[in-house]
Amino acid sequence: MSELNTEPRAAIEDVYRDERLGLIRLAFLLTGARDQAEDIVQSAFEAAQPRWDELDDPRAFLRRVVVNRAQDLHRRRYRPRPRPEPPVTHIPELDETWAELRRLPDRQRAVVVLRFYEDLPLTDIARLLDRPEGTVRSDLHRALAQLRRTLA
Amino acid sequence: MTITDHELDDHLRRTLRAVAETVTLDDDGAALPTVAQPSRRRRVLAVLAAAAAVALVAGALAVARPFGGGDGQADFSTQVPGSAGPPRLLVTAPGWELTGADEPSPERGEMTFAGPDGGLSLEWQVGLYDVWLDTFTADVAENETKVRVDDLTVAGHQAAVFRVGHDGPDYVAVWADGDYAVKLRSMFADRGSFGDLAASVQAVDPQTWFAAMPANVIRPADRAAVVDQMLADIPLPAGYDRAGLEAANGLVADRFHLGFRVTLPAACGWIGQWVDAIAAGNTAAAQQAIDAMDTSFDWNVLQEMNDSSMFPQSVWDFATAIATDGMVSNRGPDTPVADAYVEALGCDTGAG
Repeated sequence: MSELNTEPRAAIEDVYRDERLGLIRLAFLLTGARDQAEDIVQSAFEAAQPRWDELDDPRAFLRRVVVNRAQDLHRRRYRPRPRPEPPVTHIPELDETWAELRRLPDRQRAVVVLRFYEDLPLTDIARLLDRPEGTVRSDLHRALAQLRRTLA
Repeated sequence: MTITDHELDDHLRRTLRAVAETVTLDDDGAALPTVAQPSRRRRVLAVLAAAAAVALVAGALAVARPFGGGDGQADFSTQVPGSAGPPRLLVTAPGWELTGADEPSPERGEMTFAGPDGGLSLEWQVGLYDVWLDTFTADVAENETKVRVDDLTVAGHQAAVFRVGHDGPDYVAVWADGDYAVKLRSMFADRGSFGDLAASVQAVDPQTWFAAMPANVIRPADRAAVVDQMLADIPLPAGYDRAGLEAANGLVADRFHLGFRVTLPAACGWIGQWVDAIAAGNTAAAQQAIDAMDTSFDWNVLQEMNDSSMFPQSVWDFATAIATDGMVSNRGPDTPVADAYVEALGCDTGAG
């Protein structure tokens, strides 16, 4: 037994420094609200901290918590939605598309973000969202059909 | 004008990347506050203490205590031992409306308000004052745009106040009320209006508080009837704790969350029976579970929840799976229901 020499793989501080911005960006795309995105990422690290050394893949765990908590936020429909934010990219074409993305039903937008921003295959999206792959495929199909109609 | 699949894919990637890159950190490179700050040990201990308090209270839930009369009927509250009960607060500023409230347990709850200047949330939880205060203090230490401002008195308690908005005004006030930590957070309020809103927060008696609840919040006096109504078209598996769900314990419940708490143990119970029956070769018990879950497509409460949650569709996917090949595909290809349903539906987490 050499437990005294066992060291954690990656320190949580390092992962926090390296991954925090990316996770906040992902949470922002999922929620459309910057401060909620920051809160979600902060809470994900707080959830990871006590079990850090036991996690098989800490980065995957963090991303999963962020996605799940963004979804939890959507389930609370009584929570007032933040005011629409002003144009963000200042490129009209992209801002218009972002506005249309934000109008999608929450679960459809989540699938679009994970597919086209995270570049995840449908099987991974289904696993992250705890959804059957067929349902994820259907949500993606509907979202793209809606976007095609509104952006054409 | 038509857009090809490739053009749409490419446009979406470009849009999402451009939008994501507008999010920047003014504290890039900062250390994890909960780990690197001197307060780490205190925070971890506080979290453990809070967890211990929750466990203690969970063990004491069987002991019901009288709770101030409720809203016209004899309510009984599972209070936190030694506590005067959860905070009963209202925002009384003109133009502000209570839009939601939920109390999963005597230890925690939340309310939301909407007004002319944005939204407010009010949250309370036993034992987390130090944790919340440390979190915002550490955040301020690492962000130039976030500052601690002058304390305020909120509902008779001295509250620490922070401006926490990333790119705009957004304030939070944190205070201790007995064993409870309470957090008032604004969305899109300036300093002056936040001060006015905080000053308008009033502690009220339970009857007044219950009477202020909007239609989507179930009051204690109505809870049993609402649960009965939700269960009217749901066959109950063995061991379903109907009485536990009907017991209000002096707490309010958001209708959506109550629907979740009602349907989750029903679905988990039936699917669990099917799994056990298949393993034991008990075809009658398996068929009973299949028949029960077949009715889930018509459960009114799931239909109601379907617009705003992925949960009903998950239940129906498992109902379909047990009636067909017993396999689901949300854990990669062809995973047996027995291996997937607990985690996928959250059967091991409860519905709090």
